[in-house]
Amino acid sequence: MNELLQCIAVQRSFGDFVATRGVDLVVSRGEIVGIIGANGAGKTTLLNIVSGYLKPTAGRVLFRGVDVTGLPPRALARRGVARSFQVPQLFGSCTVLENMMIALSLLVEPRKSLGRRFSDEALIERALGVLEAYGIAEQADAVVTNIPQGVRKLLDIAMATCASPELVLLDEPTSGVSADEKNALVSRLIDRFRRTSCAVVFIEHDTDIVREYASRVIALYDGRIIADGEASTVFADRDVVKFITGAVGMPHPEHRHAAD
Amino acid sequence: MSRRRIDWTVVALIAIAVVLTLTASAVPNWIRYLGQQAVATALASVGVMVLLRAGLLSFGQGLFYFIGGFAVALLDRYAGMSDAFVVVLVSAASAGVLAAILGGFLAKYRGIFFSMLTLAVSMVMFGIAIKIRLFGGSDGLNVGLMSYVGYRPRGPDGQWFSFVFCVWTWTVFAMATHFFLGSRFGRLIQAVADNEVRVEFLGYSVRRVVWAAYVVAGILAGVGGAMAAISARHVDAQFAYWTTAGDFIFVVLLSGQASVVSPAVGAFALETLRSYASALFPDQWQLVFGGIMLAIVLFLPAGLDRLIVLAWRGTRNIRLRRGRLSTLESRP
Repeated sequence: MNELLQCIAVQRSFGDFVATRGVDLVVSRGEIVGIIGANGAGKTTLLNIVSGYLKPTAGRVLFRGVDVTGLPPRALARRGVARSFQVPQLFGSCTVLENMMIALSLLVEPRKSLGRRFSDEALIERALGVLEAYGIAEQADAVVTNIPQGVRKLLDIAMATCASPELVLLDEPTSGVSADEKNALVSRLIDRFRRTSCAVVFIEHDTDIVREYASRVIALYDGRIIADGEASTVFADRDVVKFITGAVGMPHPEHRHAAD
Repeated sequence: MSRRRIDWTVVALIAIAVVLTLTASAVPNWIRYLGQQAVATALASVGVMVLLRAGLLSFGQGLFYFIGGFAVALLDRYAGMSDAFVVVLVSAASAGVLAAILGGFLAKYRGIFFSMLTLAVSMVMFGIAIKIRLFGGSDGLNVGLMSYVGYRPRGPDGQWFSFVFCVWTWTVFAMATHFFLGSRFGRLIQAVADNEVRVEFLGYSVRRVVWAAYVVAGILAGVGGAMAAISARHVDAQFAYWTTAGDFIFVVLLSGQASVVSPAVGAFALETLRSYASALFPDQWQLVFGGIMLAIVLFLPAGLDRLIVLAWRGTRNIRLRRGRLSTLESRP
């Protein structure tokens, strides 16, 4: 069984507005999938459905062959679906290190150790290890409201993925990251996930990054998949050029909050 | 590196209890009584503090204060049980069970909805209590003298015992709360206030965290009510009235939330104020309350314990940083 994630005729509407219209999608183990599409094409909605944040109005979602439609995010997180956010979702009053410690104590450490002391050396050590792997250990003692957006972004991803998940969903990992850091950031992330043959689905507006790292590209337009395949094929597709990459140039990054 | 830092909260709790125990016989009775009322209020306020860490303001902690107090009164009256240790545990358990049931429903709500619902539930209890003979109506019930593992002291001895008992009960429950808040689970309470979405996506149920905070707060208020019953030897429906819960909120605002010890300061200030202000200006003592509240919110919004925290922070930060850096350097 090679299909890790299957979306079958997934549909989602908000009142009269249909955000996702009958999306069929299969993601295999270890695949790196880039999702492109203009504002309002339904990219984030699709991630929200797959991660359990939104229930689809119709259709089913299977993870490892098991129907997970309508399960809450916490159930999916425990099954190995990690999700990062376009707007980093952090614990604002805590330091970078404490954020990581909370993530580890929930996702990695066994449930029964929740009664143990929060600030114990082993947990601190472990959290520092993860922060170092992401190159943000120098900021360990800074409160997250005071750190640069790039670091917040990395911390958000580090927290979501600390339990070596099987599927990682990244919502615009490079938004808010300066142009010259983008490439390094994505290559570091993709490298990490390749090593554990974890599948990655990421939403990205920077077509160069999608071309470089995605083994497969999905183009969304008006809640539908209009192209699905290798980057070169998808970017050459007439509909993709017309609706997404076309003459209007790069679309603006979405400013919509992931939780909207 | 495995050397544990001294836990100053634990040291302070034990030191306060020891000092109060040793000096108890030298202190006039009325001050001891104030102290007893203060620790009862303080413990219930610690519960309010726990909920505030989750970002929730409860106007209904009086309900559990009521349950705790009446558990003592009813046990004494109908079961002839007056052992202080037993009645406190029964109070804690009854308040905990009720909080567990109500919490299942209340844990869904946030902000003003949570506050209003806690208030409503508490006022329903007040309305019932004032009408029912079992609870003594608006007159309330008297509570007999307590015994301590078979020993029933009388007169001044009894007052000394009940004071020392209340102080140590406060110490034990405040310390347990301190360890709870310092645990990984306890840290989640704050995490929930910060970002519920993230907690859910880390695979944990936000509702369970809120529920647990509510149950802990309920138990603490229950034990507080039991102590109030033991020290005043009288309970009435007023315990469940929303102004009782208002007192706990006042205490937390006044004293701050830096540690579980803090509310004791605010509670003692409140009890002293209440007795002095109501003697000096019987009709305007709420005015004095309001004035103090205003001054705190305007000039010291983090509460009185902020002063202590500020004084300590300098040295503590240096120590913490040194600790972390050496952990970093010692990594292979």
